[in-house]
Amino acid sequence: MKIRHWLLALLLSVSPRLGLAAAQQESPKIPENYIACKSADEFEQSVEYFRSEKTLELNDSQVVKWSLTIARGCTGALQRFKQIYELLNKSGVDLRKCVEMAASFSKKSDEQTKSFAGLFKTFFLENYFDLDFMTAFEVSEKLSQNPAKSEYARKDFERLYKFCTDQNKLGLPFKNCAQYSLGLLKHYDLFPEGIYPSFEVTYLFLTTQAGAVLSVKEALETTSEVLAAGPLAPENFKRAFNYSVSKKGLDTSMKQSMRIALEVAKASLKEKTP
Amino acid sequence: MIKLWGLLFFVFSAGAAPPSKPSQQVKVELEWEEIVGSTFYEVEVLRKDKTLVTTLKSPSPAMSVNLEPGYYLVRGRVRDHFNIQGEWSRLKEFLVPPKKIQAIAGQNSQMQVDPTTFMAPLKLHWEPPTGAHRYRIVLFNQDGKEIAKHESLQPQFSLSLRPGVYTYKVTPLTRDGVEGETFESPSMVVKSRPIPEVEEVAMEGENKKALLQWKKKTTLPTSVRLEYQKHFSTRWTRIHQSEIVETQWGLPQDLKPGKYRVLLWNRNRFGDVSSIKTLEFVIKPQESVL
Repeated sequence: MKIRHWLLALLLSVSPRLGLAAAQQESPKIPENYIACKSADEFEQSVEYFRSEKTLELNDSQVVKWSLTIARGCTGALQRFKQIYELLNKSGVDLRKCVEMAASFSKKSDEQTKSFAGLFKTFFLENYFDLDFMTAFEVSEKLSQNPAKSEYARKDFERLYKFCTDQNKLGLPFKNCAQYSLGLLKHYDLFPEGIYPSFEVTYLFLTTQAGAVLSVKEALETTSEVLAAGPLAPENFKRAFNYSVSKKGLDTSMKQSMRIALEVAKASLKEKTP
Repeated sequence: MIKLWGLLFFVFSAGAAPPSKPSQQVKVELEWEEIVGSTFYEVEVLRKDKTLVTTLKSPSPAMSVNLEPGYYLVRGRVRDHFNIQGEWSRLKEFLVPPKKIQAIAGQNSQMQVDPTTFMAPLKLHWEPPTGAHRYRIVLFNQDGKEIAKHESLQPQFSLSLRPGVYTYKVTPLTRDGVEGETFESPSMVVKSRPIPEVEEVAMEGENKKALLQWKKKTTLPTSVRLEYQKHFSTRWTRIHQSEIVETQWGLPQDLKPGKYRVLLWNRNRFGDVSSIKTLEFVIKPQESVL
């Protein structure tokens, strides 16, 4: 009896150390410039997914081929694939294109995938901007290309849609909002952190602080002109307008001040000389 | 001595019969080789069934007789100085054709189909030539192929023609089938008439409960075809086709997302169709589905 107790005590004293030793066999260290990928998980889950997705009618070699493609997209690739594939399939896109697009997004980031899905819904659906399919698709694809900007793009257009269609704000019909938003895309590259904040600031200034001399249409057009000059243009416009209209400044009329402010705003961006 | 002689007959149609004779008869000249020693010639003209038409007697080897156009047999015999009669010669056939048709009225070189029947009516008529009992009318297409044949007892003929180029021939015939000269027509062109197309196509209601409506200036039925295409695909798939008399059609409900086009055209019973009107629309998914 005593020996058994002794053995039991010895075992109990050793086993935590054994567990600790086991725990010390952790994941290998990954160099700083790389991301660790659970490619085996992605591969296995992809095979199961493609086998179950009867609409695709893939044979075994195609299942392996596509599963390997997804595995190369690193952790989360299958989820990204599924998100885009199902979005496009339910929107009536040709299956081959669905798979091609979904596969391309499987290699991108979660944010890019989320941005494309969000932008596409905002641009395409009937209750939103209701654009034609190709415009909605191409614009969404373009705006979600840049990993750093894709999140801004999604949020920008969602907020633009809400601002534009809100009856207490612009209250414009969907089509007009859609056309205006597409017009802003021309200047989008000038705004690395998104365009919406600059839009809102400028528009509200033109319709409230600037003496409300502009109609909604004029305010939107002027906003677009200001934004064409980049992210500093709204601030330059405001300052130039306030200076022109003030007695200490030029003391000119509202309209004249507006013109001057616009010219000053247009000088907000200058290309660097090579 | 009466020799068996072969009579050589030359038959001439000498024109219309003199007013005192029946109007369907033509004057026929008969002549043959003179038989030396003959003083008198006797000629019998018989019908095809060997019934006697007339007996002619003449001292000279030439006679004329008024006959209705048709098929005839003739034989002759002679008498000599001693009034001895020779034997009849072999029967020889000759044909007296009907006169030719001078002109046919009722044709135009250019015709257009009737807008309701899509066929052009052709009504021909002519003066009945002497001796014609019936007429054979044959119609040809632009390749010269016979496309219709008809026999008429009357000097008239009616037909409805589809668009195309036609000629016809009319041949007068005697009672017993002797043909006269065939009248050949110049070309006739029957032009088609465009089938009125569907107009003012519009879709009412939401895409999932939509009614397609249109107008048309014809009572012809309208063919409606609905096709589907996925975005980025190049292939259209037909999902419905029907022919209707009304000017509206309810789209199927619960159409799946994608591109659609509706094609509409009017069609007559010959398969002639109007130009096609197309209306395209897109069905978008509901937000809740995405």
